[in-house]
Amino acid sequence: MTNDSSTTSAKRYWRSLEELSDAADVQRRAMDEFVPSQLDDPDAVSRRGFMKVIGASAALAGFGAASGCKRKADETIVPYVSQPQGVVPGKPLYFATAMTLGGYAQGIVAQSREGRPVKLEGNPDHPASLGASDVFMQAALLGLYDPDRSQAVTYGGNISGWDSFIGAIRPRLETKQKNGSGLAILTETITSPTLIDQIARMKKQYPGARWFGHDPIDRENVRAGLRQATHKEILPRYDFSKARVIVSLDSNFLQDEPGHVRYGRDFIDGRRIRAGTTEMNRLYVIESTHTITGSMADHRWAVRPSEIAEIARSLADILRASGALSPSSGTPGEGRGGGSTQPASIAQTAPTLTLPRSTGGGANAQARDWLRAIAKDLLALRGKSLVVAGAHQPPEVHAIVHSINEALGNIGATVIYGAPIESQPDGLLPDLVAEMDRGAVDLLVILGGNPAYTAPADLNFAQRLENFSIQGNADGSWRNLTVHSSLYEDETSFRCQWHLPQAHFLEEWSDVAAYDGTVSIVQPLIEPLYGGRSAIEVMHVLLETWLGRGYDIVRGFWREKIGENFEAAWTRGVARGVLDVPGASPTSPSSHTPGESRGGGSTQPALTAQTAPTLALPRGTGGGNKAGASESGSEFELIFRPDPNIWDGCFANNGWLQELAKPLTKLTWDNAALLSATSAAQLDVHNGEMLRITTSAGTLDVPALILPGQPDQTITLHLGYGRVRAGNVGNNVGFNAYTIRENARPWITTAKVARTGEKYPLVTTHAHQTIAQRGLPGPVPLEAGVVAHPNDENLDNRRLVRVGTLSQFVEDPMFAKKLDESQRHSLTLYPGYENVYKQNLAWGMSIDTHSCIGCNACVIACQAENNIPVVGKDQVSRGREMHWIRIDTYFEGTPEAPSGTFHQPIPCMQCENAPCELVCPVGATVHDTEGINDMVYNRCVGTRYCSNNCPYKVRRFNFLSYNDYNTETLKLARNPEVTVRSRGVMEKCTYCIQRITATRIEMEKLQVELEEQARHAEPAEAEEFRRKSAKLRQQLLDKLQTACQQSCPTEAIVFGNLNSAVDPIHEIEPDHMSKVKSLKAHPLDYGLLEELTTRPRTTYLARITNPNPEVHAS
Amino acid sequence: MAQVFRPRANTIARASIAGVVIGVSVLGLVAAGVDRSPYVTNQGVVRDQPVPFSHEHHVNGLGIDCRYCHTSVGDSGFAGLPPTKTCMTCHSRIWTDAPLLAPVRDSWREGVPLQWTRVHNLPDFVYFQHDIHVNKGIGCVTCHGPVDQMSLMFQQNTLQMKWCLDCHYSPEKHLRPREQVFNMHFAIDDQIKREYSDANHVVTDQESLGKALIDRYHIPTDGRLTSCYTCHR
Repeated sequence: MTNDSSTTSAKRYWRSLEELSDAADVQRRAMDEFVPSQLDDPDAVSRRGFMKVIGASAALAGFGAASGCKRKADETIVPYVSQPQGVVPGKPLYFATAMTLGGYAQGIVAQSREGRPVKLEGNPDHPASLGASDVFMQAALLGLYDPDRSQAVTYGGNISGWDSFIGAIRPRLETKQKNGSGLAILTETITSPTLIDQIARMKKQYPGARWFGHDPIDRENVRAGLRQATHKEILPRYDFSKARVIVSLDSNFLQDEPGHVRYGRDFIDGRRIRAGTTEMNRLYVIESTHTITGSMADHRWAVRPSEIAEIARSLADILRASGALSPSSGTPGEGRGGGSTQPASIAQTAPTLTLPRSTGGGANAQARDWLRAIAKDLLALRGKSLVVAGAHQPPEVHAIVHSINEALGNIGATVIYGAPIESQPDGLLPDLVAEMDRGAVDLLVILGGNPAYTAPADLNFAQRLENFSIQGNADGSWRNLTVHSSLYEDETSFRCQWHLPQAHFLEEWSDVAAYDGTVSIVQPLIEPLYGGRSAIEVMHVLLETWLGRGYDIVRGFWREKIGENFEAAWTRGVARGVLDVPGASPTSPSSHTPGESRGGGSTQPALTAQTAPTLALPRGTGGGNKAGASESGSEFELIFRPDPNIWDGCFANNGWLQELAKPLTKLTWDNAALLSATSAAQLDVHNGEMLRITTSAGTLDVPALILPGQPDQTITLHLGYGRVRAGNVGNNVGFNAYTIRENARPWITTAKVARTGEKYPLVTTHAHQTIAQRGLPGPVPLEAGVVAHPNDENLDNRRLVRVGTLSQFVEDPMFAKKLDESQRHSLTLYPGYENVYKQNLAWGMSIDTHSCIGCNACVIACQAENNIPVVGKDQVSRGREMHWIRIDTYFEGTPEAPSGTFHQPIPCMQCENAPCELVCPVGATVHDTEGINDMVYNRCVGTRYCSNNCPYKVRRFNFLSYNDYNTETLKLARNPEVTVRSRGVMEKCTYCIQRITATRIEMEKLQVELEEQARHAEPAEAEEFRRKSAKLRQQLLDKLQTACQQSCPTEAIVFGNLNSAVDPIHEIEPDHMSKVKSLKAHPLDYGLLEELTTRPRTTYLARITNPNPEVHAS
Repeated sequence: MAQVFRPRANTIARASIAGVVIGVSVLGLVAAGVDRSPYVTNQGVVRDQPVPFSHEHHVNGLGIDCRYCHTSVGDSGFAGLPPTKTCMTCHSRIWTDAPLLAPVRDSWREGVPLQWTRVHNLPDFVYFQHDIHVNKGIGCVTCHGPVDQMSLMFQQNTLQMKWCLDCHYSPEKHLRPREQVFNMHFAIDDQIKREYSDANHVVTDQESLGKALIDRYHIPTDGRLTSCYTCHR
């Protein structure tokens, strides 16, 4: 990292390949924040043109002065006719509800203002969210108000009505009642008890009726694998809080699995570093595409997807070999109990481990060493380890993983099996297609989903559905009746006769189950905006041929199920967001269904030992792929994954999600063929050059994007893009991966890949808002984001990311702090503020880079809370995205094999010596008494000096009028507590000042009120009042959270008061310390660019990794 | 060549220079005047309302407390306007046929809310909070004027930032005991003087009372009241 360094390896941490190679564009961006887009010709304005514009402006200013004095438009106040109980005008109300992702519930607490939901947060009482959220939950709000949602029942594309629909379907249903057959419904994954019950009743009522399921992101492989291994219909969930060693075999459990928000929390809880911490969990990730789970790994290994099965087999073999030596391996129950004696015996046996047979494929000697080390780790922590396989891995992998977990005694401890939460349909999409072809179906009702778009291409479902819909009888009537109920009039609706607008989950009564079976009642926050009806109500039409109210249907179901005390249980369940279901399996993750896991376990190790070696090769995937992969040339393994932003495409019309920079790639508004640098070189493509990918199902042209950490000879494609009937936002964005997806091999397949020579503009934000080395004395290399390891003796870098190992931390807990050659400066440009800060509340934030998993939830949470607009792909390409908090991702090592990936959320640092304030000519950004750097929109004239002078690049400028002032529904989505900014105004993170103000006002009201009472009370009581006041105020203060903090699944962001107590005299616990204050005293605490004496109020905790020394040695 | 400018041109030149200077200044003053005028601020302007509601009659004549209708003034940033139901508590029994009240009865019968014109209309980037002002001893009269004398509602003050800041810089000028907030005729009497004097304060007039209350109600004097984010966000 010296000045003359020209090799790429000199850089330790980098955000993008361009940065690593010091590309001119990145250098320019680092030095000049406001880079004109390539489309902007700086010479386009001539001097004459300039004078013309100025002259015209001056003339207009004259009119403007006159119009500027115009009177304010009148506003009306519309009070209630009869005010509902509990409503205080101007105060928000909170309601518990739930949303689903892939069918599984996440508990929500929705904030409602004057009858409209404006913010969704996780429900702290719900096991799947624990109060946190993910990008989908945060962005679901915008989905509710989407003006492109379907707004009417349509028949053949013409507006119709519910009555006409019922009139049309009733005769069909009446015939069905007699002869039964011909009725088919198609759904996505369903966990709603009411809906499942309705389907069961439907099958009873219409004996020939059949239920088909199609979810493009399903867990069929997991189910099949476990069926194979245990002969039971079960699905796993995991308890990461008990796992000390975790091995992920291509599982992105921090993002894709049902329960991922909870998993993230549990996983991080197992590795939090506090002063004195000496141990943490260890994560090995063996994965086929770089995911955020991989970025958290202590050891990560990129392999081709087809190799995972081989690796799993090898791992099982090693474990079995050593397990035979273990005296207690025959009885896992004892094995877990006798764990204390085992590490020693394993340590002895481990070095002698040999691979029983070749690991084959791509696994090499290094891999074998790896696996041995992993095996040793796993054996040392029987019952406290966890091996988890990705849902897209073939069933064989899941069967092997089951046998490994079984042998390690993890079943019942870290892996909990239960009957599937999701209900099993009678058949899948191919079965439906067969039935349709057979002519056995004449009434098809598609509830939700978008199968015409999400079906694998080789099923040709869209065309079949279209033909099915227009098939006529001899007498000219339609042979079939097709109905699609969905939020949008989408690709599937277009091919059905009837389209029914579906209610958004914030508009409907329903119920859903979470990953652990917890049932939540979904309650509406608002009347359906567009006359939509829920799936339950549509099912009710099928059953009763009249429209029922969702409320009555759901209540009716639960009244029967709960029996006595129904009203109390219902009221409690709706209020809390978690329904107590009598007789249901316990919802605590630590519990498990007896008989299925540990109880039955005693007989199963034998089974494991016998069956595992004879496990068949993966169906098609393994054998075929391996052969393909070993061939050189353009044969690639193709991996399909749910998109981290728009999932299977159902969120495609959500601008917040489309514009969100995806984890790791930082790609916005597109998907791309992700491939390794080596593969790119081999194909001779650069970022943004088109590749033609051909599978047996079809051909697709996709731009290439190099993802560091992607295994060679593989391409990852995210699903959900390339939609044509998503809406104004999502249409024709990205490339439709479903068009080359095969039914037989939906997740992993082989493809021919060739470059086409065409180019496509991909927009990533990696190079935006670079924290560059400006303002430092002396010649410094232009290395944005360069940081040092403790061992680096380098002063010319910025030490933005600080990373150490656990042993380093144990040895020297202060290592991260020591990287500052100049310790924290006490100089201030604002004398006099020192005392003010000490007396008042002083706000500060601590961001734990060790806990940040890079999931982006905070970014969307901030966007929803603070009315942040969407700017579009073109504006993002100019670096004008408006997010107030961004996640900088740094890679370590080479692009071919990065050795580490680190996430760093960057909001405004709220510097005490804020460089932005000094340069504002109009005083639009100034300091307040609690240490926040105030941004005053109504003073800002848009010079952008502040942004130029901000070393952290956190200020965002409204180059254009980004906010939509015209769409009525979008106005409803806005937070009334935050100004909607217009063109020409700078903005940035405010620490959620609206939340601070609300809390402060409540605290002060309480204080005054209780002190008044104290004054009028007896002296003994008076003291009691004062104590109560202090206690209640402290509680309010402790509850205050910023939007990013509240959304964070791993509690990586902590915000609060840096001064000790609200009321030092009457403090209940004199040493009460806010969480943030204790984190500021954390040994790993460091500030970014503290050498600039900015004195940031936002500081960071360094990242600690827990590598296995034996892996390093090998 | 004959002289282009006669000597009297000098006078004209001087006069023009003076004219421009004076003209610009006058224009500036006029602009400033217009900006502060009721034309812009709506100060003192009676607004059209669906019902010509008289605060004078209801407050002064009948003695109804502010909070009977503006229920959330102490709990929320928004003081609240009465739902039609509140009007009907009385007007279902008295003045049941008054033509002036027809919109209220219609609203009640048809379930359609009344639409009042906002009298005190702050810009959207200003976040005024009623509750904290009321709880810390700012009387209704202080901002809204003698509402009990207003037969039709109008805005008493300019509501411009300078007017807000006058009080935020020196709150002692306007503070009153919390229990006097809704009193339309508050005056400092002997009882107040006795009650609010203590070891540090001798209450004799508004100034000294205000200072005593600043301590008692923990009104920040360190500049927080004038921090931008206190009102703008």
